Amino acid sequence: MPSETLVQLENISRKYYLDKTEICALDNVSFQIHKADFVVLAGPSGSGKTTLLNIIGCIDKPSQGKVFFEGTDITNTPIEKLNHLRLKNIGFIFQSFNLIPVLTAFENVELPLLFKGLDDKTIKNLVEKFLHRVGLMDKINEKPSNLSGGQRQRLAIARALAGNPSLIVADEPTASLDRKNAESIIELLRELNDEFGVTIVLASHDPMIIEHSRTKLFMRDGQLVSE
Amino acid sequence: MPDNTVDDDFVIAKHYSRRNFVKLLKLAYRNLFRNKRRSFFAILIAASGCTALSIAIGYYSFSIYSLQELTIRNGFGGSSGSGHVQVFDKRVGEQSEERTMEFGLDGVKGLIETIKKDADVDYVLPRIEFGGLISNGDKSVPFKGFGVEAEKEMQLWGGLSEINPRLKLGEQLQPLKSGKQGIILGSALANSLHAKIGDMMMMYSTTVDGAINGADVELLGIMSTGVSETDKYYLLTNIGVAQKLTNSSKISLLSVMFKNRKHFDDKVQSLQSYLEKNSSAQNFKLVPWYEQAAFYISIRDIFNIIFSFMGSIILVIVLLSCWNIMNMTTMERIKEIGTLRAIGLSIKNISAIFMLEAFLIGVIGVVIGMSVQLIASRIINALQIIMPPVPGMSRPYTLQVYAATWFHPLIAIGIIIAITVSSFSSLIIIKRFSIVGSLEHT
Ligand SMILES: Nc1ncnc2c1ncn2[C@@H]1O[C@H](COP(=O)(O)OP(=O)(O)OP(=O)(O)O)[C@@H](O)[C@H]1O
Ligand SMILES: [Mg+2]
Repeated sequence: MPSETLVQLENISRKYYLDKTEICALDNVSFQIHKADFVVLAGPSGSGKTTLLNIIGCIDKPSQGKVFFEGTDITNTPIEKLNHLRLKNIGFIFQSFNLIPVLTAFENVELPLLFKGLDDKTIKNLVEKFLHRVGLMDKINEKPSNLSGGQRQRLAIARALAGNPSLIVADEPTASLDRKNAESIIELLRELNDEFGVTIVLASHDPMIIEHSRTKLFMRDGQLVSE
Repeated sequence: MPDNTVDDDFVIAKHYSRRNFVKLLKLAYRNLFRNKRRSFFAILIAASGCTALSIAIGYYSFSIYSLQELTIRNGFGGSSGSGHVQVFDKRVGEQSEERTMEFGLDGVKGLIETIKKDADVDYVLPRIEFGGLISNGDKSVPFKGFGVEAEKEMQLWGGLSEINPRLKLGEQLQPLKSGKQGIILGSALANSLHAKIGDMMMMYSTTVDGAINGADVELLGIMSTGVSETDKYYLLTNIGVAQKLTNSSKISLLSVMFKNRKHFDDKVQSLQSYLEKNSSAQNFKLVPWYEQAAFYISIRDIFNIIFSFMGSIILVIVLLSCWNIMNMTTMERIKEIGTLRAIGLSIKNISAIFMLEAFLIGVIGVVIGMSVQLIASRIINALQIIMPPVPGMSRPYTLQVYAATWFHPLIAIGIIIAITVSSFSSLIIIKRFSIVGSLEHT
């Protein structure tokens, strides 16, 4: 079990307000994510998986509680100031892939790298390395619309991984895929987790994914529950 | 661990800002093809605005140029055309004449020869301005008279046909060339005297000695000056007739026409110093055309206001329409914006994409708009559309649109800026949504 802490959450709550009624999406959640871990957030719909994942991914803020990323307290840093942190440390994988339709496979992976201050040659090498790794070298100049669902998610994985993040967050990464593709995506993520030591946190209610994960966190009504 | 170590300092990214700019520009360009219909409309708006503005400015510049040439060659509101520059005795306008022609110009022949030696000068028109009464025997009416050299005056007036082929003003002076002792009257003046061509009339004025003098003259022609008010007192005759009537060999002024109006003030300046050097007998005052063109200047000022107002309205319409279009474009891509923000692109970078998109729409629109303008203005000019007379004027004119290329860069910049500014609507929307909010937006 890896021991170094990547993300630490202390007494996190996240409240939404809908016409004065308070919705408590997260209710006093505390836990740590260890480096190189493969974590799944499981639980029924509406239990707060996405909300928690957004906070872990530094694209949302808790209403209460503290968030530490690699030991730094980022609780009070505004989201917009965290874009460098995300660019450098966090990769995102979405349920509906969220690729840029006008960019080719190469360019989709390239885009975040451009803003990291890498030179052209380094970028080219990285893009090709990761497209090769996810098995899309023959699609390097294709637009996402010419790729299958499974290929699109592989491309998204290459984009998330190419920047050498310490964390990848994935919200229901297989929910838009068929069984076969879903399995191969999870397999790929597991391999990448081993290969690069990248921490992966997924939200899913897919038993197959839960089974494949090293750390399993179960949620209900905005709280972490033991199975 | 992987080998793609990233430097901690994001300032490094600035080294690549030009490369990234080019990449974003490419992305913006491709985005134009995502919703072709919408991009088409945006470009159409930009192009229409550009065409409208450049045709308007072409019409403006035709109008202004016509007004200038009318002022120079035919005059407004009470005199014949000023010519490019008028030469007076220095005392004119500073002191008042005690007697007729007291401040007239002497030794005209020699003076004209001297002026003609200036390389810029095309021709010189001597003129006498005089007042008096014109009578049909039963009724006497005051007139304002101009004694002219018909040949040269015809050349001056005739030049207007270059602007408007329908204006054959020179021909109106033809009757003065008959050699008879005769006059041409403004139409309203002739009307009030019930005079017809061929009638004999008496013309009275004062001589240089202050005596009343009269001359029998034949009515050779009746003309409309183009200004109804002027037609009521306008009288034109040969310079010799006027000289005989005033009993003087002097003239009131010399009107000088340069070959063209380029470097105009320099030409006036050099003529002034040339005259000072070569004609010591008299002190001269040179008055360029625009210094005695109050009517032209007031119309020009009104035109400036009208056209600036119109131009601003067009720019505002372009901006608002594109604002709307950029709004829709941004909302349509709000999820993609959320993705880019999650990945770590700054709002600055993301709104740059939209700004560049708008910029490209502006550039494409301007190129199309200018081309359409080229064709459209040719068609308008070829159609020879007859416009009704301007208020106060009695002649219709042919509508023309000039190229006005000097103003086109300003129009292009105006349109491109208006459309680029419209992309601020994207920025407003991007900022209105949180990252999570944009990602969840469907
Ligand atoms: N923007 C929002 N405004 C109001 N309430 C929200 C908002 N986002 C989430 N919620 C509420 O917070 C709770 C947790 O939502 P969340 O999306 O985190 O659940 P989830 O576990 O991801 O569900 P699913 O499996 O359906 O994706 C739900 O009750 C949801 O209605
Ligand atoms: Mg969810």
